[in-house]
Amino acid sequence: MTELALDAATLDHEHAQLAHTWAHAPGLLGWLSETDHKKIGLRYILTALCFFTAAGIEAAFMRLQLSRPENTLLNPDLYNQIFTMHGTTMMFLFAVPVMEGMAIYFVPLMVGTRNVAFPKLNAFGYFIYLAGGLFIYTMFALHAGPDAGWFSYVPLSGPQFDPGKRADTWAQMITFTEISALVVAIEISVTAFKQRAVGMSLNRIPLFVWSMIVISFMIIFAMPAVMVVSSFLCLDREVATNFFNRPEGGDPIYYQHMFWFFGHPEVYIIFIPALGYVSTILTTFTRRKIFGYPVMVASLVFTAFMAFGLWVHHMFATGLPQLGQSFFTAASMMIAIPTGAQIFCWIVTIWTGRLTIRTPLLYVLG
Amino acid sequence: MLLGSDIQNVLHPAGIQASRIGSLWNGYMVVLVTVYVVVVIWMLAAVWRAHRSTAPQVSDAEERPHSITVGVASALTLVTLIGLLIASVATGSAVGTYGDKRSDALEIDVTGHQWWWEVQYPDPEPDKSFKTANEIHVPLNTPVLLRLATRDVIHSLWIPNLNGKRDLIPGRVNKLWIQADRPGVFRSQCAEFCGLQHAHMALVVVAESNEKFQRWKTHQQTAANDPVTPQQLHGRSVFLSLPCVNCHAITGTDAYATIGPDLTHVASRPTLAAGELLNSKGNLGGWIVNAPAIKPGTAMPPNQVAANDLNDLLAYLENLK
Repeated sequence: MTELALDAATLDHEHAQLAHTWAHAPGLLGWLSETDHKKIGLRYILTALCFFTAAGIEAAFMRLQLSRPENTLLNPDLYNQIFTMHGTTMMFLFAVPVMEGMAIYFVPLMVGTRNVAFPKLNAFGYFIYLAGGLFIYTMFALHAGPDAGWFSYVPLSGPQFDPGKRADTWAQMITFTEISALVVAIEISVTAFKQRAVGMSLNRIPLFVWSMIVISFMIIFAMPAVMVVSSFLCLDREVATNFFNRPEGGDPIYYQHMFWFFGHPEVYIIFIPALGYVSTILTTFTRRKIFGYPVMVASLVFTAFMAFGLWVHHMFATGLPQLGQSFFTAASMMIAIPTGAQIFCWIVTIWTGRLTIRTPLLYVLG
Repeated sequence: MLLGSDIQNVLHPAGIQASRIGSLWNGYMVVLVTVYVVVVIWMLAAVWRAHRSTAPQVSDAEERPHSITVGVASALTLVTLIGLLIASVATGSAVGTYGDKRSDALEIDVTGHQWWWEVQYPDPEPDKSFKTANEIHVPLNTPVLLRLATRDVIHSLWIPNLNGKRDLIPGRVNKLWIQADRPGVFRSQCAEFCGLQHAHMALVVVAESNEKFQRWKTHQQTAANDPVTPQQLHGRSVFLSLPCVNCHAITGTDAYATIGPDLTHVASRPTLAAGELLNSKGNLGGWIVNAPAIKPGTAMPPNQVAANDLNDLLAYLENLK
């Protein structure tokens, strides 16, 4: 056991050592080796906004093309690439990463810790996300952008109908961004469960942090499905594994099941943080704690569970049995109950609060 | 008109399935708009009240009545959802199994291709079975079972005026019931992204009286019109000497390939290349000479045909009514 250092000189020395440890290294190497969660979080958000802008420009081209019948602004091939890039960018390079950035920035601050649980892993996660995004845009610039839709259904994206490297590009990008998502999910859940300030018991975690914990668990269960299915797609394309080739015993429907087992929870991975924002903004501008905290937390968790039980409603046109469809219709509707309960709790929070009407509150009310 | 057109419009049902779906849609609209309005009014009332409040009310005693309100509101949500669910399942079941017990049902095989629709009317007598392309004729007030398959990628058949959409998936035969209850021509468009020319993969459904339908069907069952004029006779030999025969069929000739559309009665169809072109002599000529320029990606290759030969070929094809 070391002796307590009390004299001023030792304190100064320790202070200098700590300052050195936590200082930002200078230069490019310093930028690359940055592990501060606030910096990494901001990088996620800024990078995601750049991709968002790119997706917006793509959307503008699509609308221009569609502004008149038989327009010749884009040829069919370029149009297919652009709408695939738009969808892929929005889902994989903007919507989820921007939420992850918010989580990385705010969760350590809100649970009262200095950094996320694994700072270097966190930096790795950001760079692999950036690599995935730059990779797919480089391929797009080289006229090898994916062109089978952001969902890349087989067999249209399979070896027979999509020769070249386009669908492989898409599948590879998925692997990059989903590794990044899994990294963030691990960071956030470990940080929130192991590094909370003394006295912050589970029933005192801010709802924003709860929403990020919930999406972290959803990412851990949902993202592997799309990583696996896109890897199967690559295998089918590169080494003829026939996972989705009907004549050889595969089935294109398997692809759809696995894709939407990820795809539907993804919707809630984007939506649930927004619930966290609303709860946080409301409590601030009504000057009271949230009404029905346990109900709010239970609703978030229930929504997350339900989100894994309704992927088939994306496949209602595939001709599945009526009974199965009814089950998924019911599950899709029941998700309105936790959402409704949260809205009711928000209204009561407003009802019993004292409003300070400022811009953030106007956004929430709108 | 909401969508500007009656011939491809969910809200102008022309059959019993689409009517059921339309009623469900309208019912949902009424219920959900009501719920929305009530919740928004409740929220505005809360804002009005809290704006004038001087201090937040957070004691247990002050919160208790609100807990009951939230509980009741959630219970009402559940009851509403159960009502909507029953309506939805009942509609789905009625639309999905319609006609399963009807013996007078007409069966039609629809096969998707990149990028056109093959339509076959099977018959127990093989020589009465016939194929057409990009058009389905159905008699009024008769249940029609469409058996859906695909030759290549996934397509989706959606005739909004008649029923919801159903995918055409490799290795499967999906079923879709339709029944038209008013005459008309209804447009359909492939509803699952299927590649370069997905946007140019249209189909029309012609709903007509039983008498007219039988006349059409009987005509389609006959072999192709024989060429009469010397020009048409020469046109047929041009057809048979060109690569046309590698993909197309004309009954009564030696052309019987099944890769492209059956041309036995090509001149009777309103459009060419899945709604891409109106079926006129000029368009047909342009299509034969350089189809990829009109529809990039199409399997139809460009053809080098001498001007005279092309003219005769067109005369022959125009006669295939």
